[in-house]
Amino acid sequence: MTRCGSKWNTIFKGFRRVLIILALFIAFFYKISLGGQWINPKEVIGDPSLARLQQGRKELTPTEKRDLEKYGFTGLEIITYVDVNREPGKEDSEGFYHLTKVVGGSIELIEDLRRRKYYRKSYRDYLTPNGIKPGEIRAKRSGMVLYPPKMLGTIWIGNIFLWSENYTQFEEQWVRFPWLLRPRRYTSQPGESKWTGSEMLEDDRRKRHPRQEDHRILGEDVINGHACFVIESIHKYNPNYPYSKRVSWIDREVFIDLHEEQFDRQGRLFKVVENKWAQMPPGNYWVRTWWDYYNLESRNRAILETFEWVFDQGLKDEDFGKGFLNRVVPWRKPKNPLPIYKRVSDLPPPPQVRWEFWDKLGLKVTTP
Amino acid sequence: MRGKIGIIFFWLGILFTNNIIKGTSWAEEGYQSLLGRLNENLSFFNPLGNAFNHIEARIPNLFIKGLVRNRTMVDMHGRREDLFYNRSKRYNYQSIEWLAELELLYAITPKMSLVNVSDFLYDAAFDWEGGSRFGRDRYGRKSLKSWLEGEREYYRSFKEILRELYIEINYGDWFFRLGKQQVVWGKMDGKVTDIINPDINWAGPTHTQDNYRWTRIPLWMAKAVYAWKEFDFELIWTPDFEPSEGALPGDVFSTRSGYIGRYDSYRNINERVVTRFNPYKVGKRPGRALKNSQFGFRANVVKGGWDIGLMYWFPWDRFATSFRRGPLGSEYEHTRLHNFGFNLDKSFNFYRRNWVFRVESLYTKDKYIPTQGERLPLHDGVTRVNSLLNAVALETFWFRGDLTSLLQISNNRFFKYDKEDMGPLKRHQTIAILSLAYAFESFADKLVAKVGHYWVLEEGEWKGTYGISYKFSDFLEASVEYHWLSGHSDDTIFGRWGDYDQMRFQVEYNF
Repeated sequence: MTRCGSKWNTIFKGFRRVLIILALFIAFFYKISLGGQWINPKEVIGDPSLARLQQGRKELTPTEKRDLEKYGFTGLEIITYVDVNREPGKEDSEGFYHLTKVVGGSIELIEDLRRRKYYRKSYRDYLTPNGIKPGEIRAKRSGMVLYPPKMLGTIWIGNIFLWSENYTQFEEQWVRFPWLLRPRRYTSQPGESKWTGSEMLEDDRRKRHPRQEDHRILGEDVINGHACFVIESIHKYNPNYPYSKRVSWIDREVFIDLHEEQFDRQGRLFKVVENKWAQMPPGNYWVRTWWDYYNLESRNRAILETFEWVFDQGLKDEDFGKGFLNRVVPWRKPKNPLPIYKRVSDLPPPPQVRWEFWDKLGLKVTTP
Repeated sequence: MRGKIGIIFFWLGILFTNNIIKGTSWAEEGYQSLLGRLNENLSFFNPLGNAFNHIEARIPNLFIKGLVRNRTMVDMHGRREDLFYNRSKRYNYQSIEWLAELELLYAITPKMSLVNVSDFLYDAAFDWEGGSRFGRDRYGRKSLKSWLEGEREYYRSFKEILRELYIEINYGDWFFRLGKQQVVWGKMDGKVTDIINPDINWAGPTHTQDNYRWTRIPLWMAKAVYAWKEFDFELIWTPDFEPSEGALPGDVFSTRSGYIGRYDSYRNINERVVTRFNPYKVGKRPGRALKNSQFGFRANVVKGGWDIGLMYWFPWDRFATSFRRGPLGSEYEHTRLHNFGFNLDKSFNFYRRNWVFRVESLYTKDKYIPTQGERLPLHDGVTRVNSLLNAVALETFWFRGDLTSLLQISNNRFFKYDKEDMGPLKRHQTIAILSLAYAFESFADKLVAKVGHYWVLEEGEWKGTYGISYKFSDFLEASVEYHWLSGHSDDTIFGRWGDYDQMRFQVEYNF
């Protein structure tokens, strides 16, 4: 080979190396670039009338008109924006859930790995007539229990439907318990039942739809540095619902619910809830990382923590189908497991009632 | 009688305790300081788990779990001499079973895992009751205790101890599981299409679904599943064969006394010498040739909320058929069957309540069963029949999810037997099951009461199970159950065991 030829050969080899590096760079960031970014729920929905007048409603109620005039929002609109944030991720999401349940001094833990895939382009599809219809699948979920030992390997899949007044079935689900060794379709627990016997209802955790309650804005407050709307919500359809009402403190900029107070059937404030949210890179989705439910009467408590979130992995239908139920080994373990509270005294202080707000409003609130 | 009075007081006690606890606030100082501290200390009592945690911490993709369980079955009628077939029983404990299990799950890669389950079982009733455990037959002869102990007392062989060992591979839309495993088909409670693995059912009418995992006999199998959108298709192949076992002669729920005497027919077996006289193991086993493999497939689709499955299974009958060979005696042989199955389930919302509806059917072709009636010469004492087992179930929640109810009706019908007037005595049998489970909200669902009733509609015999379970912590649970068997002494499922009512105590430690 001539000296000139070897020089071109070297240049070519170098160029090839650059091409390989460039290809790897694109491949690495290609996946991330497909994922979304957090968008403010107001922008996701766009037209506020979609959030204010859902599922065929034609007119606002007098209460909603008054709220709109005074605050620029209706209660239903704000609660819907919070609901948007409860579905982090553009296509799918996966994270660990860690529940600490305190009952009468005993402490129980449940840890599981959960996935969800959305069958819509954005939350807006739930609200538009050309989007998803009530009764259609809006999301699929799957997961596996990691703790306690007896439940390790419990695996489930579920199809979640878009709720409406005429279509009230929330989901269909299949579960395989390690001792039964076969998948079995289970009836979905009603929304007013307690989740695993804890202080959280199924509705509190995931099943409640904004349209199931009448909402009104009670006022404004500042909590932990966040300027919030305070919304009162009353269940419309079940006269025997466990709560006569619940009051939520919602950040007025990003629409995350930070604090909640729940009232029993006798109108007494009996449960206080504190939530913490954080934005998860790389998409900066808001995720509720801490849900703390404290019963003032029984002193029982449920703390649900979520961690190690991954978004927009491109999960397939098969990850939520019956074939998935054959797995027995978890596909991920926590990289940084959360500490375990072994004593009730190790728990952080329980949520506190916002007495200042009630005093400001001049409303008398009683507790058990 | 004492059992029935006990049940009434038992339920009154539950209602009383629940009402007391419900009205009591956990915040009361005295109550909380004593009980609260006890609850707190029990919460993390997990000595074995804590020891294995160090191993798990060193091997990142390893999960270790297991259990230690004691299940004690007390005979509520105690020692009796005047039982059916002139039997007697001279024991109080039907079983004192200790079970230890260790399960290792290792994720080799995110798509490949290795699973091993090992069990060790010891039934202390054999030592506790001594020679009186097995009673005497009409001639006053004692059963051969030693050989039954050999079968039941504890796991002796590697095959029994190594229950499961398999590798799982996920490859795109495919899932493979290769090794010794259990495969469970079906959607229904109980066994309708759950027919792949043989099982050991010595507990007869008191055998319950929550124990199936430990009574099935795992087989060496290859399983492949292909999942595509709403469809999944499963293929199973096994060269392995094991017979099922019921209660052995001399066992608690056996109709045979277990005495092996001079004229016992088991001595006339000319196939091979069976030293342990296990009647379930005397059948001529299928050879190891490929043509003797068992295989099957299952196809499933979920469409519009309907979950529909079809299956076919080509096995050997797990119970050997006794063919009468005239003066040569009997020949025990396993025969081939064809099983065709169908299942369907749907969840729906009715009257603002969620329901699940299930249907399952199993058609079995070419099953040999003993004939009834006169034993004619040149007849081999069996007839070949087909059977159709159908089951329908409806399940829902009540009272804000605290109460679960299940209603299930199954019917098994024999037909197309190949010899006139020699068919099964019972041409069909219908069993109705009503099962209720109530989780006490005042105990944060730790206390659960269960009631189950099983009726055989044609005969009127029935079984009731009444129990409570309490979860002390994530690791420790205990339960008490009463099994009440009722009917006539000539009934075949529950009635004849009317003097064998059982109180079952169970403590289970999971780690």
